[in-house]
Amino acid sequence: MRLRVEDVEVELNSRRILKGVTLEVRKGEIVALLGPNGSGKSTILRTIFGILKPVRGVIYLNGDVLNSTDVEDAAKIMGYLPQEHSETNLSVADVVLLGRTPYISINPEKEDYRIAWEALKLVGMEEFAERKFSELSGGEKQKVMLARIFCQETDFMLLDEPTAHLDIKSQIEVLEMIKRITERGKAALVAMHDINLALNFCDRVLMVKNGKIIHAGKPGEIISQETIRDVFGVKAEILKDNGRIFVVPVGIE
Amino acid sequence: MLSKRPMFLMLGIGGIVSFVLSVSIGSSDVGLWELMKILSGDYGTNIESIFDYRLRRTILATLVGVSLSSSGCAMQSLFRNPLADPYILGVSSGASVGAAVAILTGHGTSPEIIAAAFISSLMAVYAVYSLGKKSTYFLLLAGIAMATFLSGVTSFLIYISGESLRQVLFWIMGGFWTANWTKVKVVLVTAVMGTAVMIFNSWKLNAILLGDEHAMSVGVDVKKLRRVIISTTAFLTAGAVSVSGVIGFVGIIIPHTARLVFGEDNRILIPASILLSAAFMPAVDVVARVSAPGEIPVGIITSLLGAPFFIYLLRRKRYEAQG
Repeated sequence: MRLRVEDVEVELNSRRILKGVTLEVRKGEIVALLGPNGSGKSTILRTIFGILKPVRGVIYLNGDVLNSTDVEDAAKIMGYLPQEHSETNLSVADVVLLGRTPYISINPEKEDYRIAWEALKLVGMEEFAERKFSELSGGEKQKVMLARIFCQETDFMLLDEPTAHLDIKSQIEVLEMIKRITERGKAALVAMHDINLALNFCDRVLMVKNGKIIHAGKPGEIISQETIRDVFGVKAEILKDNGRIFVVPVGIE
Repeated sequence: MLSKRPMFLMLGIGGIVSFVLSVSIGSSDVGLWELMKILSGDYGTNIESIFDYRLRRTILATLVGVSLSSSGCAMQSLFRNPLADPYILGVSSGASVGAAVAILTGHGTSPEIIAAAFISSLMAVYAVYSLGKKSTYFLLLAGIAMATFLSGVTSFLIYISGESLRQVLFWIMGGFWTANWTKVKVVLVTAVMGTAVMIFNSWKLNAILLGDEHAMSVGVDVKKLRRVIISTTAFLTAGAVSVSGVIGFVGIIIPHTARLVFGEDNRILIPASILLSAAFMPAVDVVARVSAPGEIPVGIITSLLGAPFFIYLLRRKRYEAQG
């Protein structure tokens, strides 16, 4: 499992929104995309999945060029979790089952129900199966969404701010689930806002600004007052404790 | 899904009761007893022709109801809006202009009006879709603009219609009293083919409930699905409107009522809407037949029932928004 994005450029309304993005995600890794609002994190994820078409550059998955013109094919090799979703009164079980859509011709079959049930158990939400999705809390909804991704059974996950709007406990629960899954030989590219969560849960960090990746590396290697100022435009203290790194913003540059 | 079975059974029984009532009630006093006689082979030709008329009228009402409600159901899921209606694409206003033009130009026979209404309604949808395919928002605006423009055209045609006034007006108001077997055949084809497409796509319509991007993320080609659902809706409603005129609100009331009872899963919702409309439409047509001497166009009755229901929905929505 290896995803490689090479020198990808994307335009929207003739404005270049990704400029020469190159990145790599390997088996077993969780890689974070960190950057301010509008920096291009979501655009990178959407381009890899094939919703946006690059005007330049190539995306490889396991050495093969990813011809991302067809979302039906893309959904069989990549699990993409968009940031926003509409409210629905579908049951939790039905929402999870939607992850089986790429394999369903008309309606889900027994095997699809079994896989969806396993995914629900994996996120600890099996007791909620019959509940309406719209009645769940933010954290519960996000776990259900993860179960939906898991039951797509893809090796590679693209997650757009899976911890946004969640309380601290739910944030950690969600990230630990992602970690458990990637440890089984999968990989994830995750757009995140919370720098400290990203530093402590992800193997590598890609720092994005103005549609470019300007710093990339392991958390311990690239996080410094300078790189935080470069990317976010804030003054920050960097604390280190037992190999863990914490960024404490103290003011605006 | 198992617990929904008794409710489905009830709807099925409702449909049968409604069908029998519709065949046995009418302005003449030929009723259930005479129907039994026909079934046992002991009847006169006069009675037979009354039943033949009621039978085609009942089947027509059922199929029109099924067409409008199944397309309404799919539109509501596609737009993620319980107030969406199959007519928002300009079908009904397009059909009205076509029918009025046919009648005024002396092509007032049943097949001619059907053909004119069918073709003009498809043209109206095509124009709306071409103008608004960029987004749902554009589509709705284009639909409103088209409906306003075409209703102006219809009003003008009514204004100059002279002796044909009554025929044009009665056609637009919608009803089943001119039911004939040609009409039944036309709407049978569109209803069967159209509902099959809707049922076939019900899982994909579920995927779109979470949002367009979520649907794409599980492999649904949203643009293609939108094209399929909109063209099928056009086909279904054009079929219904061209044989029965403009029957309002069925496309909203039925799917929404089914949604309240059966939930949002289109695999259940679309068949439930079909059964509910099969119970509802012939029953309303009976009311149209017996509520006044002569009869009231059924479109008036569905609108009289539908508008208060619409207001109820809006109020309910507001309460939900207020939490």
